[in-house]
Amino acid sequence: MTVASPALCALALGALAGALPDPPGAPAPEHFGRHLVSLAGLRGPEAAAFGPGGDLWVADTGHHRIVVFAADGLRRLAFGGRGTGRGELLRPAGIACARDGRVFVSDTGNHRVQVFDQAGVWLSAFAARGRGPGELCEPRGLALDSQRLLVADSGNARIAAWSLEGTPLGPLAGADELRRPIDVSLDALGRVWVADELGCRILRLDPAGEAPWSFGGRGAPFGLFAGPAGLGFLGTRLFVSDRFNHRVQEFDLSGRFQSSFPAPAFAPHASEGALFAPGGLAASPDGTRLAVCEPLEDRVQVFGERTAQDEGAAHELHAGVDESLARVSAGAASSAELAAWIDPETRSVDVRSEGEIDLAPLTRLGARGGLGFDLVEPRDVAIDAQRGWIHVSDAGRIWTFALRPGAGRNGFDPLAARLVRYAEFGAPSGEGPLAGLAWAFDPGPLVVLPGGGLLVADLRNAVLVRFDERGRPVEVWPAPGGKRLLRPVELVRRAGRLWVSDADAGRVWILDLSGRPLGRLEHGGDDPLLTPGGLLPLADGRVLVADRERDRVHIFDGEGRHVGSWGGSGVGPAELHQPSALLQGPEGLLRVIDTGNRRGQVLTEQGRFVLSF
Amino acid sequence: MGAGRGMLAGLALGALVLGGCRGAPPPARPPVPGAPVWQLAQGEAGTWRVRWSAPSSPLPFGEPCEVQIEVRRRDGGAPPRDLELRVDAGMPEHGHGSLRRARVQALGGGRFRVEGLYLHMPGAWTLYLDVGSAGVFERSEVALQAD
Repeated sequence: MTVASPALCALALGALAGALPDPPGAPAPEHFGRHLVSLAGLRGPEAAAFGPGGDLWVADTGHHRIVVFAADGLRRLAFGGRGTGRGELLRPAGIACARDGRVFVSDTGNHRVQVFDQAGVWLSAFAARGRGPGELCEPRGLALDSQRLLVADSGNARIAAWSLEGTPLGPLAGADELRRPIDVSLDALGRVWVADELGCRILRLDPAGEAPWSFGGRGAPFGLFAGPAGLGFLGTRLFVSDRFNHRVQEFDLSGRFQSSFPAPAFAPHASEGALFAPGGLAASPDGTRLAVCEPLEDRVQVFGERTAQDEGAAHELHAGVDESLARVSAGAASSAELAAWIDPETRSVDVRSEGEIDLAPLTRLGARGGLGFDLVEPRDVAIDAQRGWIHVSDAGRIWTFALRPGAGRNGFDPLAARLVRYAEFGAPSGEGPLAGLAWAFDPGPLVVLPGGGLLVADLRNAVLVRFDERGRPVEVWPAPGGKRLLRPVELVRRAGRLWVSDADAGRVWILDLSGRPLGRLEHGGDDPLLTPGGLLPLADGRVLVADRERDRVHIFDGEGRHVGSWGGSGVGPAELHQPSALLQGPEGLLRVIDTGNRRGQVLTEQGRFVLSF
Repeated sequence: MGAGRGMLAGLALGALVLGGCRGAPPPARPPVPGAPVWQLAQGEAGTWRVRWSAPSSPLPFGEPCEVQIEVRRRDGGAPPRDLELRVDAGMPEHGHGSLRRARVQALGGGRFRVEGLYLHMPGAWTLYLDVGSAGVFERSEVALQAD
C-alpha cells in the first residue's frame, strides 16, 4: 500500500481543482490594452455589455439609464430615467444581452432585474428587496446562458440563479463564502466565475454551481487585487478589472497571470488609455474588444489587441540588455518551505509555497508593484532559508529581498516581501576585487554560501565572484582547472560541493566551496553534452543535468558516470522543449521549468509525468 | 571682591553638584520650538542607521516638500567618502510611485537634504531611502501619511 505525503496530496488536489481541461486551441497569450475609443457623456457608469450586433450597452449608473453606443462610438439610444416604476431605474449597475435580443438590467437601487428589448421597450421585471428566495439586495453583475440568468446578489453575498422568464432557481451552492460578489461571468465551458470585491479574489464554480476554487488575494503585485470589480472573457482569456490597482489583469483559465494594462508607468488618469478605478468590463462576442467602465472618470474606454508597434515602444525600455544572455536560464530555487522562479514574461520572481506550487504565488517580486524597485531582466534566484532572504540577479544588479513572517500561507505574509539591499557595479574601477575584469560585472546564476555570502556567475566576464554576507565582492575565482569558463549559465550547491554548467563549453564543473575542481561531466551517454543548463544534485550523490538544446535530462552518479536520461523533444507530458531549471520538492518529485513549452512539469526522478503547472 | 568670592563659591558648589549627579540621567531637555523631530527609518540590512525629519506630519499632498536625512554607521565609524543616498516614494497599496523624482543634496557628515518630494495623492506613502557605498545600497523605509 502506498501512502501519499501531505505535500503530494496537496499537489494532486491542486491539480484536480486547478487543471480542469481547457478548451482546445487556446490562443497564446498576447498583450492587450490598445486604446480604441472613449465613450463620454456618462455619469458613473458601472457596467456594460456588448449586444449580439456589436453595439455596446452601458449602465449609465449616475444618470439612472441605459445608453447604447454603435460600434463606431456614436450614441444610438438611451432609455430609463430615475424612478421606481416600470422601465424606470435607480442606479443600474449590471447589464447582460441575450442572443434573442432581450436585455437584462440590474436595477440595483430598486433591488430587481428589468428586461427590455432592443429598442429599449420594457418587457418585464422580477424580484424585490429581501434575503429570501426570489428576492435580491443590490443586484450587480449579470451573466446569461441559454437557460438561466445569474445575478451577483451583492447585498446578500450570493449568486442567485433565475430562469430567463424570471422564475427563481435558488442561489448557487458553491458560492457560499463570498463577501461581496460584484460581477459574474461564464466561460466557454459553462463554468461560473465570480469577482468577490471585498474578498479580493476570483471564484470559479463548475457549471452546476459547485466545486468552488479561487485565486487572488489582496495586494498590488500582479496576480493579486485591490477590489476586483469586473470580469470578461475573450475566448479563453479572462480579464479582471482591478479597481484600486487601476489596471486590468489578464489570466488564463487556471488563474495564472498573463498580462496587465495599461502600461506599468503611472500616467495622469484622465489621459486616454490610462485607467483610474476601473469597474465593470464587457468583452465583445467576436473576441477583439474589451470595454472598461471608469465610474469616477464618467467614461467607458474600449481597448483592443496591442500591435507590434505598441510592443516596440515597450521594448525600448530594455534596450541594451543582451536578450540571449537573459534567456539562457529561467532561474529557480527551492528550500524546504518555498520555491521561487523567474517568470521571464512578466520580468518578475514568483515565490510560492512548496506543496501548493500550482496555486497563485505567495508574492511576486519585481512586477512593478509600486515597491520602489523595478527588475529589468531577472536571471536567477537563490533562497537563504536561514534569514528568509531571497536574492535575485538582474541586469547589472543583485537584489536582496526579505520575506516577513506573517499570517499568509506557509507562515509568510504575502504582502511583506521587502527589498533589503541591492548591489550594482558599473565599469571596472581601479579598486576592489572586480577591478581586473574586462567588462562591467553582469550577474547571472547565483547560490548562497555557508554564512550568508553569495557566489555569483558573471555572464559577461565568464567568471565566478564571491560576495560576503553584506553583499560586497570579495574575490574572483580563478578558472577551474586552468580552463576558462565560456558561459556559466547555472550554479548549484549541495553538501559542500558546487556544480557549474558551462553551456558553450558543453561541460559541467564540480568544485569545492573554495573553487577547487573536483571533477567534470562532459558526456550524456554516447553524445557529448550540448548545452548543459539546469542542474539538480540529489541526496544520494547523483546529479541531474538538463541539456537545453537536446531537450533531455541526463542522470550522473556520484562518480560522474552517465547512468540514464529522459525527456525528449515534444509538447506532450514528460516531453520537453528547452528545459532550463530543475528543482526537487519536499515530497521528492522534480519540477522541471519547461521553458520552450511555457510551463512547468512535475515528474518523478525517472521522468514519469505527474502534472504540469 | 566679596561678591566675586561668593560667585566663585557658587560656581564651585554648582560644579560639585553636577559632578555628584554624573551617574543620574540628565533632565529631559524641552523641545526647542521649530527644531526638527528626528525619527528612525526601518531597514534590515544592518550597516546604516538612518534618521529622518519632516517639517510637518502628515505631509501635504500635491505640493513639493522637503525632508532631512541623517546617515550614521551602526558600528560608530565615520561615514565613507563615497556615501550616496537615493530617494524614491510610492504607494504600495496602490501599486504606483511618485510622479516626480526628488532631488538629493549631500550636506556632508552623513546629512542630506531631500527637496521636491512630491506626494501627488492623499493616503499612505512609503519613502524609500537607499544608502550606498562601494556599489552596495541598503534600503530603509519610512511610512508617511499625506493629507
